Amino acid sequence: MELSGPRWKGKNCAQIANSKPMSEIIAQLQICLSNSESAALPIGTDFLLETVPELTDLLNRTSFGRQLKTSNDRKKCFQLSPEETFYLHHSLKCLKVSINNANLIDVNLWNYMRSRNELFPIYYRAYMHLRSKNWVVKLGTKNGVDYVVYRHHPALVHSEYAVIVDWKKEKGEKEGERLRVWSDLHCAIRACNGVAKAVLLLNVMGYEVTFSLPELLERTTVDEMQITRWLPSQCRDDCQLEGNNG
Amino acid sequence: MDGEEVSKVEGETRRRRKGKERGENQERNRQQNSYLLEDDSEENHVNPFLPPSPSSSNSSLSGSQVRKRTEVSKARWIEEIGMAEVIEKKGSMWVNTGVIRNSKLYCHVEEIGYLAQIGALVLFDEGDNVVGLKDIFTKCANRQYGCSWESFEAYRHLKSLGYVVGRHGQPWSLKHDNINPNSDSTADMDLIAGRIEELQIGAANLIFDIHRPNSKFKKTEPGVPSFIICLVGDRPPSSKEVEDLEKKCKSVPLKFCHVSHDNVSFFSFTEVSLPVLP
Repeated sequence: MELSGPRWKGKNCAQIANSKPMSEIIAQLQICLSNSESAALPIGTDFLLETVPELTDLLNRTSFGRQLKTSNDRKKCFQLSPEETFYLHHSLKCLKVSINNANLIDVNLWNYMRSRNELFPIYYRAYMHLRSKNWVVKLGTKNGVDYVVYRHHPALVHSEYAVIVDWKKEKGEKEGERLRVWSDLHCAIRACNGVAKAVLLLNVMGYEVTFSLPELLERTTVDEMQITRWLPSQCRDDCQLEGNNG
Repeated sequence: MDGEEVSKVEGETRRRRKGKERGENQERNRQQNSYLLEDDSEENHVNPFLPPSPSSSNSSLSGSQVRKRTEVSKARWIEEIGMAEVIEKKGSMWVNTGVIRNSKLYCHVEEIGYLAQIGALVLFDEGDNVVGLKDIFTKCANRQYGCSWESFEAYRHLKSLGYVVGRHGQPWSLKHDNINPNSDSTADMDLIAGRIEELQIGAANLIFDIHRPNSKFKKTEPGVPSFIICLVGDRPPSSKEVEDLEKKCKSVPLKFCHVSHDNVSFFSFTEVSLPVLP
């Protein structure tokens, strides 16, 4: 199927998104969160952040975390994923994280995350790559992929890509760890076609064996590859075939 | 129709109407509780860019507010047993929530978390201070009380759908003449709280015994659970693990639960033998 750019959810949505670019809202979030006394606390593999109205609003607008429904009028609780937590802490430098009554910073927090999930460095590299381009990134479990990305807030626009993260030590290496057999690829495309998304394969490349900070972030590159199926039977008469003029 | 027949018909109509009302109330309760569930479709997001509606007093999203309740129960946390004693009981949900030990009602941390989140319970600490939701959630995630954040998510998911959820292997009701909850004896504490085993990270743990939504559920006679929930670790269970766990459950069906951030999913792994076809 043809994907023709962003699918906005309503008439005003594109307008709202254009008048409030994500980078601007994130800058506001950075200021608000830096001034906040709230620290993120671990809950399972995720993190809990208590927020007051202004921060609640900004976290919702930038689509970080998931707000837990409560009956409290003022204070709210957000559940942040490990990637979101580390991004707010390390890349945006505005979130404090407290584990066992100690504030964990940078390398220590990185090592803590690694101890809970050995692939955290790879996934974080991919998450950081997308967020730093101002795409909104949410977990893609419901679609059977790693992440889904949105051009702006998910309430305004449908997501365009379903992301699968793969990793290779060197650029020339043939095989990654994901999509090992054809049915993996068919499965991903089938699941995504039904919800009008293309599969985006992110290749994190060039990592050292140690997965350490800051080397992993500084020395790896991320390649983007879009995978879509072309259906010749659905090609219209006037569709252009690429490379026709050889 | 004579007087007797008229009153009989009136009685029947009244009963039918009452039954319908009861059914509607149950449905409404179920809907209120399932309001807590995240919508399954990815596309349903509340728009934070809308101007705040005049009816809401602050900028909180309308979709995130839980209805204020008039019937709010009270419980006091008791650190030695890792549970709270219910000191003021309100509402009908206590029929299938909390355990009875010598006529006193206690609840586990996941039950407190769920009820506090829907505004049906206020928790006090031993100094009579209100314990805020952030601290209650932290207790749920703290593995020393026999719960983990993942098992709490599973509990909340099933409870808000109306299922009766109890900790695996723990009796709903116990009467023991020798129990003294004010004593320091660990034997007494064990009787009240049951053995609180720390849930192992990464391994598959049997966590809950589930009964189908049932208004006739009685703690004194719960019967055999409809199924048992096993919380899985980092990867799907191997067939050996499935076999070992099924043996522990005897003939009660086993469901595997995987929780990842915002997603709670349940799976069955059933060994089959496909028939040889003609």
